[in-house]
Order: sequence, then C-alpha cells, then structure tokens
Amino acid sequence: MNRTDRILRLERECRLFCRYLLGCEPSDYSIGKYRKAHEVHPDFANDRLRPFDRALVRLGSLTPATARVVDRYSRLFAPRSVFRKKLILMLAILESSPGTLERLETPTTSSALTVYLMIGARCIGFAAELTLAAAVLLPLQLVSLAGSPGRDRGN
Amino acid sequence: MANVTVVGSGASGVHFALSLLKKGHCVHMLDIGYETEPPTGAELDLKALKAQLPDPVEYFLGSKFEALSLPGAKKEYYAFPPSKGPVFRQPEGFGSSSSGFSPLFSFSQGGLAQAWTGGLYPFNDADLETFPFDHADLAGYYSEVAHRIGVSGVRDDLAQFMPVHEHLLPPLELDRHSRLLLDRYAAQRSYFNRELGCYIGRSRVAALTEDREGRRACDYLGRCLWGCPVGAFYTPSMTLEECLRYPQFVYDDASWVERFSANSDRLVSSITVRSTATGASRELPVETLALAAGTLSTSRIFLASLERMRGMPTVLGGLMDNRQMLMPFVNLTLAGSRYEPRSYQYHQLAIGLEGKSSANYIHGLVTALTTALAHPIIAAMPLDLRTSVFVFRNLRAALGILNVNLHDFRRPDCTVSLAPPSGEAGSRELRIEYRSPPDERSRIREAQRGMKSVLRRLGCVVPPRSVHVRPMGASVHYAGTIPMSERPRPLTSSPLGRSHDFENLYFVDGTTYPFLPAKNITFTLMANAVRVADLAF
Repeated sequence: MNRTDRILRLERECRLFCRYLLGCEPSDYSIGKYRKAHEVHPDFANDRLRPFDRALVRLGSLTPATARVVDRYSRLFAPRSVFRKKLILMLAILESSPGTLERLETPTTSSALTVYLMIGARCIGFAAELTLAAAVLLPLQLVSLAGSPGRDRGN
Repeated sequence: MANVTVVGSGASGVHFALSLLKKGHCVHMLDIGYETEPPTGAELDLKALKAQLPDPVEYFLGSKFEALSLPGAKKEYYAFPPSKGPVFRQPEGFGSSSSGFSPLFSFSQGGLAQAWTGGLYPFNDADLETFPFDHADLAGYYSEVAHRIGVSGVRDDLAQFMPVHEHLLPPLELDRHSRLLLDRYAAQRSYFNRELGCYIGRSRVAALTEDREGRRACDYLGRCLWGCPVGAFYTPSMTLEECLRYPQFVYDDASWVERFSANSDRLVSSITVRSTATGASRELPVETLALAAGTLSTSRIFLASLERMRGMPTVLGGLMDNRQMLMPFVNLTLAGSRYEPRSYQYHQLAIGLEGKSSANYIHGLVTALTTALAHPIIAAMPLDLRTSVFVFRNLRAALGILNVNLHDFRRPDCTVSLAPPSGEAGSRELRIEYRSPPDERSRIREAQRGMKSVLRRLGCVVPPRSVHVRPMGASVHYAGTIPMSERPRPLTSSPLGRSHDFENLYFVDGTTYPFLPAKNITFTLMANAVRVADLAF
C-alpha cells in the first residue's frame, strides 16, 4: 500500500471510529492527530500487524456495525489487539480535543434509576452480541494462533 | 558559620538548605536539576484550556503520544501528563535493575515531589515508635514547614492519626461528591468508628486557600494534575527559588555527584562531580556533606563511595515503600449527575482505618475522577468501548478512586547494591531487590475487605475485579537503607541523621527512617530535614 492509500485508509478509519464511538464526525484536527499517531507510535506500525490483527482491523473498519462486533469481541478475546488500541487512540484524541468533549461529559439522562436500567440493557446487548461474535471470530483466532507458534498470544 | 554541601533539590534538600540559610550558614547545592515546564494558559479552567490551546492533543497526550494509555502497558487509572515528563528524565549513563520493585527516579529541580499529589500527613507517636524521637520533638518543625509551604485542612476525626500543627490554613472547598461522602459519614459516625474502626475527615494538602507571597489561593480551575497555573499548589522548586534569594547560596545544576572521598580521620574531604552537560568530572573539596538525593540516589552515592574506599562491595538492607492499592468505586446516588470540572483535583477526603495494632493503621485517600484523562478508565471497563463510553458519561460524577496505603518495615532481604562494573564508561547500575513480607497477602486482603465495607456503608460499590494492587515502588515513598540508630553501628545514622561511618556526613532524606507508616512521607521528610538543620548546625 502506498503512502496516499494509507493516508486515505487511516482517514476512513478515523471517521468511522469517531461515528461509532461518539456518533459524530471528527474534525480535520482530530483526523490529522489520528494519522500522526500512526506515524510516531510504535504500536500502530503497519508492518508489525499479525494476520489476525490485520483481519480484525479490516473487518472492524468496514461499517459501524462491524466495528461494534469486533469491539465487543476484542474486549474479551483480543484485549491487546491493534483494533482495540486504535479505538482507544481515537477516544484519547477525542477527549483531548475541543468540540467532541461534550459528548463524553454530558449524561444522557439525569435519573439514576434510568441510568442503571439503560446500563443493564446495554450489558445484556453486549453479552448477546459477544456470543455471536465469538462463534465466528474465536475459531479464526485459534487457527491464526496455531499457525504462528512462538508469537505473543496475549493480544 | 558552616559551609554545607547539599546534594539534591527535592523536598528534603530544599527545606534543609533553607533552614541553614536562615541561620546564616553557607550552602552549596549540587543537583542534576532538569527543569520542568511552567504551566501554560493561566486563568483558564481545563475546558477552556482545551478550547484555546493551539494543539491540545500534544499538550494532553504528548508529541509522541506518550501519555496514551494502551492495553498491555502498566495498568494505572491515571495517564501521566506529558508536561511532567522532565520529572522522570534520567541522565545519560544512569542505569538500574530491580527485582520485586519498580523504582522511579527523579533528577529534576524539586525532585519527585514536582509530580506529587500534595498529601501532608504528620506522623503520630505510634508511627514514630521505632524512631529515636517522638511527635513532640517534631511538632514544631511540622508547623515551620506548614508556615513555609501553606497547608490547608481542619481539625477533625482524623486528628488522632494525623496530629494538628500550627499554621493550618482553612480547608479547600469540597466538591459535591466528597461532601456527600462526608455527610454520610457524619450521619453514621458512631457505626463507622465502633463497628468498622474507621474515621473519615478532610485531607491535609499543600494547596493555598489564601493568597500569600506571590502565590494565589486555589481558584478551582481543575488543573492540579496538569500543573497549577496560579501557584496555589506547592512544589519544592518554590522553596529552591526562595533559597536562590540568599547571597550565601550557590546552586550548581547539571552536576551529578558520583561519590565522596574521606580521609583517615573518617571525615569526608571531597566529592567527585560529573557534569551532565559535558561529561567532565571534577573534585570539589567538602567541609560538611549532606545527602538529600532521595533514598535510592543517596544510597547509590554512599555505596559507590564505600566501595571505592574499602575496595569491596557493600549492600544496604532495609529498603521500604508503601504498598498501594487503587480501589475505584461508584457512588450510586450520583449516577446521571453532571460532574464538577471546577474543583480541587487530588484527594479531598482521607480515611483512617484502625488495624490490629497501631502499626497496622491503614490510610486511604479519596479522589473524585473529574479532569483526569478518561480513556484509561473507559478502557478498563469490562465492556466494549462504545458501551463503556455510555457508562462513563452517565457515571462520571459518581466515580471515585480510593488510594489505600499499607505500612512497611525494614527487612534485611530488601536491598540496594551496585552491580559489578560492566567495563563501560559511565555510572554503575543500581540493583534493587525487594521481597514482600510473608503476611502481605493477608494484609492486602484485610485492607481491601475493610475499605470495601467502609465504601458500602457510604453508599458506594467497588466494581468486581477492579482493584489494582500497584507494584512495589509505585508509591515512591522510599526509605530505610541507612536507618537512625542511637547505638553507633556501621551503615546507620545518628538520630540527627549524621553518619556513624563519617563524622561530617549527614543524611537528610528518607534513608534514615527505621519504619514506614501507611502515610505519605513527604511532610515528615521536610520536617525532619528542618529538624536536622536546626539541631545539628
């Protein structure tokens, strides 16, 4: 992949992750910072991606729906995967930038009871979708691990 | 008048030096002395700062994203501000290795306390039981330090654990979260005291609540973690500035003290100083030497000197540090509330938990999570990130962290030594070996149980599997390698910190502690340094 393709891919990724996490479009500033992190931070060096990591990034950056599936899966089964690290990077950039900060600060409701009910519902959704995601992705991950002996399996 | 050479500009060194200067003595301070950046954007609260900085991501995450907290790195709930990076910068040629210990070193002006959280908790008689003096001997020096730096707090239920001294400024304003917790405690005080052995009160902190001497009172900008822009929050570099106003004070930075030499009368005669700027070494004559470089660096200088003079390696035992646990909690009734970014950011409340004996006292510090970076907390939740963001924004005002401290005591198998020479030029590697006491696990379990009971009673819950037991070394309360001893034994110091091996050598930092209570030690470091300067010179 040449430099221009890589920049375009990172920009697409950034837009999708921002929409997925906070439901808004990233500013040009945030996109620039997302790109820069991929240049200077060793965890995002493209040539170091293992096949399964690469697959998670590709799948997770297709649509917000696939991002959600991979996000849920990676929380439990691949917590150190590059996909998850990219999402955390996006979050860190958004919380440090003006404009998007409000979406991390403002509660969605002021009733404590409603908050707990909504969290409960989301946890049930998380568990259900995690089961489905695991059914598809876990075998792939196991195959990938079996095919790369000696590699770090703690992703 | 004495000529005293002081090594190190940390909390102990600057207060020791200032006391000597006030008495008319001459002080030559040698320090590597990396400078930290002054706070940017005065008068702005954190939100305004984010909006007005030209590059906020660089400010909060660093130019190389070094403050980004990713899975697999050291688990902490706070990302460290990039602006504090120079506090932990190490000179070229410096090296250390460790087992069972994760040491932090500072070579900056002001030392490690340039990045502290400002807790000031005087030791009481129980804490000082194995020291060769008691609280009454130290009380006046706590007051003197409080007068110098500004300590806010109040006499409350914690006074039995943290004696009250003079010059206490009015307490800081509590945020809503902390006020709620304190009100709940007050409403059930007898239950907390009798059934749980728990006492809760206001933290004592090095933050001004009144304007004084060029520093402004805390105006609750919420930027404590990022660097107080109005000077309300104390750091030792302020006292260094005060020292610099004395004509008989000489400050040499870029000076790395490697060792000292002594004559046949057991008197230190000179020190070897390497320039961190040019790499050149020089010998400086010394009349009286005071090591205040922090327990590990002071030990290193002492070890290198002994080895050079005796021709054989020495091992110092008794290294101590406070085991800390971070216990996040949710204050259930605050879900859905808006959080208060304009508030004092470090601990506003302290919790004292009685142990089976007075030495087993457990100290907790309550911090509400408001303006710290959120991504480490969100990423630590056991859910996908999107759901975690949802949970976080709705619970942000309800979140808090209890930092629990346990005591430590000297043991011969916790050692500091120098690694064998590698043949390369440069300083010798410092080796640190720490072994936890056999009963530590049960102490940790007991402390967790006790603190969780307290939090439950306060209407808070600790999420399952969220307690983080920090590695030894993380609290940076290092002490104990050259303890005070009434009896003149080798590798110990007198009650006034004078070496029993060299008559004109003083230790004025944590190296001389014979015991480490479960409290932040910085206040006692400063008070003891003032005491040594007062009584020994």
